Amino acid sequence: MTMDTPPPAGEPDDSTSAGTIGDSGYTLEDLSDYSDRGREPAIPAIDDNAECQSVLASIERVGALSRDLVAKEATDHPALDESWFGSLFAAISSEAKAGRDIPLSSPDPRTRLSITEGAVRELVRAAGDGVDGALVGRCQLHGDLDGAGSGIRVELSISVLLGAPVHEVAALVRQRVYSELLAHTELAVEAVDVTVADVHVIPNPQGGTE
Amino acid sequence: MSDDELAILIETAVRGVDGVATVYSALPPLARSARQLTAGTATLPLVALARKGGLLTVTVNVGVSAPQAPATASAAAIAVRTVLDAAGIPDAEVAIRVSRVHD
Repeated sequence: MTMDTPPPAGEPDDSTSAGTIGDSGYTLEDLSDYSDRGREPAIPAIDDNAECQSVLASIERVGALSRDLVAKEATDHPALDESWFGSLFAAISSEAKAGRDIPLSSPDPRTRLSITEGAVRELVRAAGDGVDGALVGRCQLHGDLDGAGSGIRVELSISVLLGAPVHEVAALVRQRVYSELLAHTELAVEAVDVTVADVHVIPNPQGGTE
Repeated sequence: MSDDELAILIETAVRGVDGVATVYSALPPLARSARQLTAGTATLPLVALARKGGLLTVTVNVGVSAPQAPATASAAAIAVRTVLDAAGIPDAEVAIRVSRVHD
């Protein structure tokens, strides 16, 4: 089974695999290497940077699965388009950019509370990836994020584990994303649109596939 | 009290708030790197303080893990206000930015 439809890399952005994460000066490759080293020796400029930490979390969440898939497909299906994961991580890098501040209400006029656009996108991605059998390819937020209480639409593309109940997985992703946005933002979520763009397999220890 | 000392007091107070998982740098990376060059091996505060026209603005970037990010951000702001009041700077502006929501 191949994953032959790479997820789009997201909206045009300067935070792609060819550039640095946000304006941190570190590339996706740098962070991947840092993760591979077990984040040792510690680099405070990465550890203290929210955008880098967001990308590292995604790398570590998806990394094991991607290595398994690439190894399996390299053996059984040489035609695997490995760029799928490259595009996935490019999308993650792009989405990690802090972006706009989304207001949270504050009773004190001298106090501004907000959650970053990047934090919301990471929240959505983690909620989707947390559903068994789902892997988020791309996440986009549409609508006015700048005004508290404004309506937004969330658009997700996901890959579903081969054999998993597609409708149920998509519905669960939609439900979890909605719940997380309700808990952590004050956005009025008008819709969570989930598109199943791919299927994937996971090799089992006996050499077959699940 | 220096600004760096005040920033560290604020950072410590925010880290003590229930639901705050960590504090991230509020300074842009380039500005932080420039400051680190002059600070040598000293640890720089993660909280940003800016003064303009006599008005102090405090910016704190947090990662939260509590059930609700807005409530945690609000609690963090109260913690910052407590430090500022004790330091005799009650009129400062405070910005709390939730930069990540941890699993």
